[in-house]
Amino acid sequence: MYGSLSLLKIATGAARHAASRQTLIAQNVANADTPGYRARDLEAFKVHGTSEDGFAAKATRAAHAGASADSLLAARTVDTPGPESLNGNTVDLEDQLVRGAEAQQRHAMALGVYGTAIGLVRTAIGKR
Amino acid sequence: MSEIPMFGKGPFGDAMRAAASGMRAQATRLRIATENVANAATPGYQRKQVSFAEEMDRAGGASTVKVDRISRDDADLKRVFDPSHPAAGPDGYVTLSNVETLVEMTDIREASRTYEASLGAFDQTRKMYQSVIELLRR
Repeated sequence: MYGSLSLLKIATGAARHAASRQTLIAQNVANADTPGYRARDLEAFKVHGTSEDGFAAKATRAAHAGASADSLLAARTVDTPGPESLNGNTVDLEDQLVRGAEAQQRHAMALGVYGTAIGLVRTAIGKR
Repeated sequence: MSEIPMFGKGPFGDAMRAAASGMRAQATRLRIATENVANAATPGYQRKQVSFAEEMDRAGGASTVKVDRISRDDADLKRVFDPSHPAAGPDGYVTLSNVETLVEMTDIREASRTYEASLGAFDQTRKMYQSVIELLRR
């Protein structure tokens, strides 16, 4: 029961991660011709460690105690290396296309996991 | 720049605002390039050029793009010997614009390519948003 609840948290975190990546990708594409703009992306999504509670997120900071879905989204924004054009812009549209497709896939997967976890909870409380 | 009331806070709203700002900036660039082409034969016309800058969106945390400024290109104007031209000077030369149609065409192609990329990002975000709504509907 609690296992599937933390599964919900992880799925929410993964979906938020994918959504935030999508924001950065949209920003990168919008700034594809802005002089000096550096392309950005998020670090890969990962669940921080496991505890006796199975998949419960490990708090990386005291403020993260309680391990809400927010603390799962501790990924930092990083500059993505790319060919720099003459005006200092590092956005590569094809690269952003690939990243966008990846973010969309991950988001769909997270939502799929979320839906399944909800189904588990429903089964547990005796609804179909 | 007017603010777009759309989707409120959150990553999807930010993504859509950023993509929309990119489309608006590229559309402005497209408009300026088209104006240049239209004025290619206007005597004394200096071509206009657009420069972009990154901007932090006030509504959300998104970094959007805006048209920084539209400036005039002060490259030399073309001078053509054509005494029958109504704008010809006493020496028979006409001062035309400094528009290179080929340059403008390249600019137009690039602008429309980037516009389409922003449109793609917008559409992708919309689909992701839609899939969340569908999950809630079940």
